Amino acid sequence: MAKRQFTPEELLTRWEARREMQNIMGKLTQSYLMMEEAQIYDRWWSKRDDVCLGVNTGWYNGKDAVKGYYDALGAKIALASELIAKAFPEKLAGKTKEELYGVGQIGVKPVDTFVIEIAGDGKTAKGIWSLHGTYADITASGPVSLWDWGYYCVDFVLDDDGWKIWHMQYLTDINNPTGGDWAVEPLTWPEDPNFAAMKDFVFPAPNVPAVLRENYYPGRPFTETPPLPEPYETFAETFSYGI
Amino acid sequence: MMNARYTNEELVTRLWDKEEVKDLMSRRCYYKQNDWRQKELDELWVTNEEYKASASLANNLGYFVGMEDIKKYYVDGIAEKRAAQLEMVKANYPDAEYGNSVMNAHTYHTVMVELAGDGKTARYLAYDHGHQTDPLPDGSAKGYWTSGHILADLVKEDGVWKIWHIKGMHDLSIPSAPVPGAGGGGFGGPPPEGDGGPDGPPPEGGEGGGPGPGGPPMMPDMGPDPYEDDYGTPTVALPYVVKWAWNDLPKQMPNTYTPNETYDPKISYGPDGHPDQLRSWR
Repeated sequence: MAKRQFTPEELLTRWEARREMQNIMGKLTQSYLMMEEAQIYDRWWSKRDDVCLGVNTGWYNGKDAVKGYYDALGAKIALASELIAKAFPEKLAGKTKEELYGVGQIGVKPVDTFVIEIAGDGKTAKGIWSLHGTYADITASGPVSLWDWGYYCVDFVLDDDGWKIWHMQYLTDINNPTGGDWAVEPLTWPEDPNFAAMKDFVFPAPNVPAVLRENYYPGRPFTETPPLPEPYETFAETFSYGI
Repeated sequence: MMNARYTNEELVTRLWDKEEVKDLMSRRCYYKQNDWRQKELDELWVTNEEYKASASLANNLGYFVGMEDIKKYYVDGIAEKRAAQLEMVKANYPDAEYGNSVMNAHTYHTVMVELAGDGKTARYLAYDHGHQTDPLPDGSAKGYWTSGHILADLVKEDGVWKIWHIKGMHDLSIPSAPVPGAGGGGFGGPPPEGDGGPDGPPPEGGEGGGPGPGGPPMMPDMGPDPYEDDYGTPTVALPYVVKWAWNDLPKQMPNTYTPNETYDPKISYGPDGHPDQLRSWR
């Protein structure tokens, strides 16, 4: 559809909204950097019942599932911090749990190349961002650093307390160990007794399993980017990044 | 507070114009990833006949000028490459379809946008950090990190921003996997010997790596860029030589409108604005 004409005042309001959506994505990235994954749902997501988060292997559908995803990220950080503290007593002895939380871990999720469309009615918006990140995963084999390349696709909704994430897809093409070739089977490493407890940590699976995207492998069908937002008047007129 | 040069209404328009330019270039980035090249030319590029004649797309070897030459290189060229790749891939994946085993991604970041004083044209500069993976005859594939500059002139046609000139100046293709013989403890090489911290013995330089024992790590010479064959034969050959062209880049910053109010081919990202031309112009 053709873009609607707006008055300068309306354009300024819409410019502010675009800025706010970019800020939310920036805050999301900063949350990962500061090991504040466990606060992401409370801070940036809508409290509507129909929120959902899509990952390569399916959907976390509903607010309990979405909150559970971020709670699990926090719990994993806590366990990894505890194991790192035990493995490096000479560096970390005497520190409290709070001081240790997030030690030795990093998650960098910079985003750019955004396309944002705000509904003509100003009630919803949608955007896509490219993600070119890396993170240190604490595994049963010890710390492993991985590339994290893909996309964030987000539907935003204007709640009473401002713009919030309504539906999000976090999809990757490359999630392989750094320094390795993403076109071959990723390396594996023997278990490290210091970190063996990580194998008992069970991350909650999506409550709606589905293949939303596959990481690259030779023979993978050509895989286009997720759909780009197009101008729209009301959310009913456009596609959803949700389930 | 009033701006001495523009009314508040004009300032809002200019604010929004910059957002539309950024969106346009982001869309171009995603279209390219999807191989939607004809769609890109149809939807995102200039449609006015005058602009179409002077439109250009540049790579490291020079400029493809006019929409016909651009299409021949940018659309037909990739179609031929994908067809050849598909024929090769089918030997290992008989059910393969277009683009099987191919993956490419581009991200445009560190974006700068400048509008001309008259608001009719804009200039865009960003850096493209991406990756490219292509199939090999044995059914495997090879992936590279890719980096380069993206520079563009945009023009407003009937209130809609369109791409007029674009330059993709490729700097690096770095194998995703370690490079044998990188040495020196540097890029992808074996770990340095005697890595004893700041007070320890210096690392040894490896074959093809650093300048010699004790030298700093260096990126190895990896030979010709694997994507040089994709450059084609430009309409106007004005090469960008990665190793020796750095001094030209500052001249391509988008602040060259100042103090110019309007577009001038001499400051464009088309062939008339190439650094070699700028030398004689300045």
